[in-house]
Amino acid sequence: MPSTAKISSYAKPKKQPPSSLKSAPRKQRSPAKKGEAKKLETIAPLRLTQEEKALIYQAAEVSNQSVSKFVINNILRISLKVTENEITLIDDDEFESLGKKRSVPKSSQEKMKSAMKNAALLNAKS
Amino acid sequence: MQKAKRMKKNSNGLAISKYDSNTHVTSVFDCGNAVLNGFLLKNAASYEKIGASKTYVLLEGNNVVGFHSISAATVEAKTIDIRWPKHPMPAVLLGRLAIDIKSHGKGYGRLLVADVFQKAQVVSNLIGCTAVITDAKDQAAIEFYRKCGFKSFKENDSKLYISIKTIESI
Repeated sequence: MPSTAKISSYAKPKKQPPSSLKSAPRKQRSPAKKGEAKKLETIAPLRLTQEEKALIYQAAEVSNQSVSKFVINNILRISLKVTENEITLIDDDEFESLGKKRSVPKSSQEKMKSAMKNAALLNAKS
Repeated sequence: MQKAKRMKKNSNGLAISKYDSNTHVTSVFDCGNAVLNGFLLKNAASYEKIGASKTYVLLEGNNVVGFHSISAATVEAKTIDIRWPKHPMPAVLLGRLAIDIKSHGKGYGRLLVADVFQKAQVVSNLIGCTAVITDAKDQAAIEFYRKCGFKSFKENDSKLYISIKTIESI
């Protein structure tokens, strides 16, 4: 049984501001222009194994991104590819079956065989 | 058997060729689906130019009576095992296939699918390619592809595939 760890449990050590800055008044944020502000949302904590967590942290470090940025960027990238049909995600059995021969019903096989012969002839003509 | 004979007779005036917007007549082509008609008229040539897909047409003389459009795609395992990573599998995507309404029932659709199978076999001999995949637009299309040997993915009936190994066995 793999141990699980919450990805959200990671917390960077908080930097203590220099004492000279502690009493400094906070800089007021300029109000966002109309249409510019995007409300950010959160998603529920993800449960994953220690190995998986370590791999994500390592990959984020190698690509010089924060873990959040790394996770968000890559999930968005994959999501776009999936929704735009650039990649097809399938389960393990189907993945294995890609490299295997499957039997096709005899009636379909005969028709396809004949169609493939015809297609070869038509390609040779053009 | 009867259909196969009819196909042979009709095949005299037919040819399959890479789409050329300058010589092939598409103005009378109507497959009954505005999106597919529009693709042939407006997008096929530009997709060809940028290499997004290649379109092949079934010709009667210079008139296009059907076409298919293919491109490269990948199939990935849904789950990732860290110890045994599964690399994305390359595949041929049959993006679009259409036959002119007047030519329905002549076996031209199957003929074009057979052409895709042959092209996929050629590709798989040159570079890695494990399957032909397609996205059927409706139930009739799903049935048609199944008759050609495709099988639906478990989670989505309209997404179908056939492995190169299966194609080779036909």
